[in-house]
Amino acid sequence: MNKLPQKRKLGSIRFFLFLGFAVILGLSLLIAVIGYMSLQNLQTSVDTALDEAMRVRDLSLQLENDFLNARQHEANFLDNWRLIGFSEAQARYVEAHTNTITIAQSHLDELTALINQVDTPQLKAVRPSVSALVPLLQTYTDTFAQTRDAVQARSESGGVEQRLQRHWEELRRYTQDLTNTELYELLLLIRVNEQGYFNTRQQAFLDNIRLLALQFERLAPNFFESLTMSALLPDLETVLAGLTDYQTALNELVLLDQDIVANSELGRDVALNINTYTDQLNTVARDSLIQTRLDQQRISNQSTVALVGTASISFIVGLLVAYGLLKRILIPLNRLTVAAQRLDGGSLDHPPVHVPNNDEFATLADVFNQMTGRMRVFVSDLEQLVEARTHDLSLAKVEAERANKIKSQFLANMSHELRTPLNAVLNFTQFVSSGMFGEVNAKQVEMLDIVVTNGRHLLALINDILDISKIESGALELFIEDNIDVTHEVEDAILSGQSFLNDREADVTIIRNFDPKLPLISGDRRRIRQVMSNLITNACKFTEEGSVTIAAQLDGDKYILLSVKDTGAGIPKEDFDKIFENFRQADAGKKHGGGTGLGLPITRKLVEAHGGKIWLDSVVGAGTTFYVRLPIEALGTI
Amino acid sequence: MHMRLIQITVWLLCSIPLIAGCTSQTGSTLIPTISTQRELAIYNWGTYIAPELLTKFETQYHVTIRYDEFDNDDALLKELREGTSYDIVVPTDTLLPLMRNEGLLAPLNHANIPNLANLAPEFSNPSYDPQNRYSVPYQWGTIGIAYNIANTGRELTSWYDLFDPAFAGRVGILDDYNVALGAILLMLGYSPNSLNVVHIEEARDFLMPYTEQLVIIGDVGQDYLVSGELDVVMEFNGDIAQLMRDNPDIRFVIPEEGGYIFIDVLAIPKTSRNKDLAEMFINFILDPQNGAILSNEIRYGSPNLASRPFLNQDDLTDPIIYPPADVQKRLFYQGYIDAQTNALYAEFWEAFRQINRPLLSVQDE
Repeated sequence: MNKLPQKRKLGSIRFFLFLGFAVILGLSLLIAVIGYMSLQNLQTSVDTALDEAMRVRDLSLQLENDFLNARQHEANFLDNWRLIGFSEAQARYVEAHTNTITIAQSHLDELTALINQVDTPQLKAVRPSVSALVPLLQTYTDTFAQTRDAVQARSESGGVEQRLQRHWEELRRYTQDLTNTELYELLLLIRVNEQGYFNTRQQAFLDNIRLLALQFERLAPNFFESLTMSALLPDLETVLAGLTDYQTALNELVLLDQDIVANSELGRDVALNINTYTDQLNTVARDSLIQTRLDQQRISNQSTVALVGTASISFIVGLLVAYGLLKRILIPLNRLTVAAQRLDGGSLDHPPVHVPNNDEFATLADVFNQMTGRMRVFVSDLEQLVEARTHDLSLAKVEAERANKIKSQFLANMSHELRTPLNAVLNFTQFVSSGMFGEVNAKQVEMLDIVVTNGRHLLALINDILDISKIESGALELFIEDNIDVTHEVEDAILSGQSFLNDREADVTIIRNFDPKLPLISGDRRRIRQVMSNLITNACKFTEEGSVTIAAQLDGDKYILLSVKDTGAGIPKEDFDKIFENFRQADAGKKHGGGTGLGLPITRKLVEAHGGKIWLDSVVGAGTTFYVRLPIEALGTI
Repeated sequence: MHMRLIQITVWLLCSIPLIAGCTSQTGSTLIPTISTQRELAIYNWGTYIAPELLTKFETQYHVTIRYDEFDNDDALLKELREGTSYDIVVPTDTLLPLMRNEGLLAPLNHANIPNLANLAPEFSNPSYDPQNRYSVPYQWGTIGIAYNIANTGRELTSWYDLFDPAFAGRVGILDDYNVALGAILLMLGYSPNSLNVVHIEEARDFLMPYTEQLVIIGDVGQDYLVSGELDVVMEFNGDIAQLMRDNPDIRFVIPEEGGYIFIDVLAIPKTSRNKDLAEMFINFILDPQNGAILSNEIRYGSPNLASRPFLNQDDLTDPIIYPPADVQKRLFYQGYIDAQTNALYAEFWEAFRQINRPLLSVQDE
C-alpha cells in the first residue's frame, strides 16, 4: 500500500492553504508593526510637545519670578534712597535691578526662541503674548531708568529738594523775628503740610499749602512795606517772590515726586501686564501639557483599538477563509483519499464516496465512484478466472509429484534389484578367476579381470544412481556423529585416490596441508569421507603430472575449510555450474571417459545437506581447486 | 450739558432711567447698523461734542458712530466695570488711576496717535497718567459760580453768596458730594479734598440749616439760569461760557476762596473691539483743526497747543475759559480721597439731600 504520492499531493494543498493563512497573518502583523512604529513616531512628537510645553511653563515662571525680583529691588530702592543716600542705593539696588532685568531678558529671549519654533497649536497661539512681553520689558526698563533719573534729580545737590529747602529757609529768616508770629506760623503750617503731602501724597495737603500761601499773601502787606530800604526787613516784593519761588519749587518737586510715583505705578502696571501674560503663558503651557497628555492618551487608545481591530479582523477573515478552503477542498479531498486508500487496501465493497460540494470535487467523486464500480466488476471476473486456473494447476502439481515419487521409488528399487545380481556376477567371476573351480589359463584370467573391472564400474554407477535418486526423492538421511576427526576421513579418501594413481602410474605427488589444531566436528562420517574421496579421486584422475594438494583449516569459529588443489587441465569458467548438474561433465571429464557424471552433483548435495557449501576456482591449463566449507556443528537436514 | 458729578432728586431718579432707556434703545436697537460698516461706540458727557465732528469722522473713515451720553462718573465707572461695549469713554482725570488700576482701560498704541505731539507740554505727561499711556486730554475746565446779575442785583465773589437769604430757593448746587461739600470746605478755608473729619463735619454742620435755600440739580444749571428759575448755580465754566455769547447778564466767577479745575480725557475700555478705530478717533480729535472745532463749539479749555491758531481769539482771551494767573492760584484739583473718608462725604451729603426742601421747587424736564 503506497500512500506517499497521495500524502504529498494533499500536503501541498494544505501547504498552500496554510501559506495563504500565514500571509494573512503576516499582513496583520505588518499592520500591527507599522501601526506600532507610527505610534512610536507619534509618541516622539507628543514627547517633544510635552517637553516644549514644560519648558515654556518653566520659562514663564522664571520670567515671572524675575519680575517679582525686579519689583522688589525697585521697591527697596524707592524706600531706602532717602535713608542711605542715592549713590549707596544705586549701588545696592539699581545694580541688582539691572542684573535681574538682564536675567529676565535672557529668559525672555530663550522663551521667544522657543515659542517661535514650537509646533503645538496651543503654544503657537501664545506667540503674540510672548512678543507683547518684549516691548513691555523695554517699557519697564525705561520706566525704571526714568524713576532712577527722577530720584537722582531730586536728591542731588542743587536739586529741587535742596532748592525747596533753601526757599523755605529764606522765608523763615524773613518772618521768624517779626513780633507778630502770624506769618511765621503760616510758614510752619506750610512746612507741616509739605511733609504731610510727601508722606501721604494726599491732594488735601497741597490744597492746604495753596490756601496758606494765599493767606500769607493777604497778610504780608501788614508786615512788609513795598520797596523799603531797611536792612532789617526785606521789602514786600522780595518776600512774595520768595513765596512764589517756594511754591514753584514745591510744584516742581510734586511733579517729580508724582513722576516717581507714577513711574512706580507704571512699573506696577507693566509688571501686572507681564504677570498677566506670563500667567497666560503658564496657563496655556499647562493646558497644552494637559491637552498633549490627553491627545497622547486618545491617540494611543485609538491606535490600539484600530490596530487590534484591524489585526483581529484580518485574523478572523484569515481563519474564515482558511476554514472555507479547508471545508471546500480538504474535506472532499480527505474523503476521496480515504476511499482511494480503501481501494488500495483491496476493499471494493464500501459505499460510494459522497462529497458535500457541488464543484470539480463532486465530478471527481462521481468519476471515482464509477471507476470503483468498474473495478469491482473487473476484479470479480479476474478472481473467478484465477480460481479456475489455480485449481487446474494444483491438480497438475499433485500428478507431477506423484510421478516423481514413483520414479524415485522405481529407481531405488531398481538399483537394489540391479546390485544383487551384479554382486553375484562379480563374486563368482572372481572365484572363477582365482582358480577356485578349476584351472584357468592366463588368457582366461585376463578376460575375467575385464569382466570384474566393468562389473565394478557398473556397480559404482548403480550406487551413484541409487544415491542421487535417494537424494532427489528426499530419502537421504544423514547419520550425525560427534567427534569426527576430519583428517582421518581425509586420509581414507586419499587412499582411494592413491590407488587411482597407482593404477595409472602417474607422476603425481600427494601433498597434505592440515591444520594441526583442527577441531573435531559433527556430521555423517561416511558421507564426509565420500565427499573428500570424490574430490580427491577426481583430482588424481585429471592430473597427469604435478601434485594434488589437500588442505584442511579453520574458517572462522564455526566452519572448517577443506580444499583439494590439482595441477590438471583446469575447467573453463562457463562450465563451473554445469559440472554440478546430473550426468553433465566438463569436456575434460568426458575425455577421460571415466565417471558416472553423478559424482559432483552428489558431493554438492551431501555438503549442502550438512549445511556447508562447495565451490571451485580454476585456471585452464594450470589446475583446479575445490573448496568445501563444513560447519563444525552439522545441521543434518537437506 | 456737562452732567458731571450729579445726583438727582428722587423725581429725577424716576424719570431719567425712562428717558435713558428710550434714548439708548433708539441709539442701539432701532437704528440698524449696516452690516459691512464698522461701528465706533462713544460714551461721553452730555453735549460735550461738536456734532459736525462726528459726521466728519463717519464720512472720512466710512464708519458709523454710536454716540451715547452719561451724566456722572459713577455711571461711567459702573458701565466700565460691567464690561462695556463702548470704544471711547471720557472719564475725568481723578478717576483715571482707579480705572487703570482696576484694569478697565486698554493702553494706547502711540504709533496710531501721531497727533499726540500737538498736546501742550503741561498736558503731555500728566501726573494722573504718565506719558499718556492710557488717556489723552480731551478738554479742561473749571467749576465756579454762575449767576444772572439782573436777578441778583450784585456781583458775586464768594461761596458764601450761595447762602445769601436773598437768593433763598433760587440757588442750584451740583448733586455731587465731593464737589458740593468740597466747595463749602473751600469756603470755610479748608482743602476741598480734606481728610480731616473735623473739617468735613464743620462743612456738614454749616450746610444742614440751608434746607430751603439750595436746590440740588444735575448738569442743567445753565438751563435754569436761562429760564430764570434759578438765579445762582454751581456750574462748569464752559457751559456758562456758551450761554454768555447770547446773554450778557449771565456771569461766571471763581470765588475768592477758590474753585475747581478738571481735565476730561479720552480713553479706550479694555473690552473695546475696535481699538484701532478708537485710536483713529483720538488722533482725529487731536488734529489742530478738529480740536479747534470742538473747543470753539463747547467753549472749554483746549489742551491742544497746535489748535491755538484756529481757536476763537475771543475765547483765548476769555478769563472764564482760560483763567488768568491770579485766578489759577485759586484753582484746586479734585484729588484722591481714601474710601473711608469718601464714605463720610457721601453720608453727610445724603443726610442733607434727605431733608432738602427748596422754597421753590424746580421742575426738571
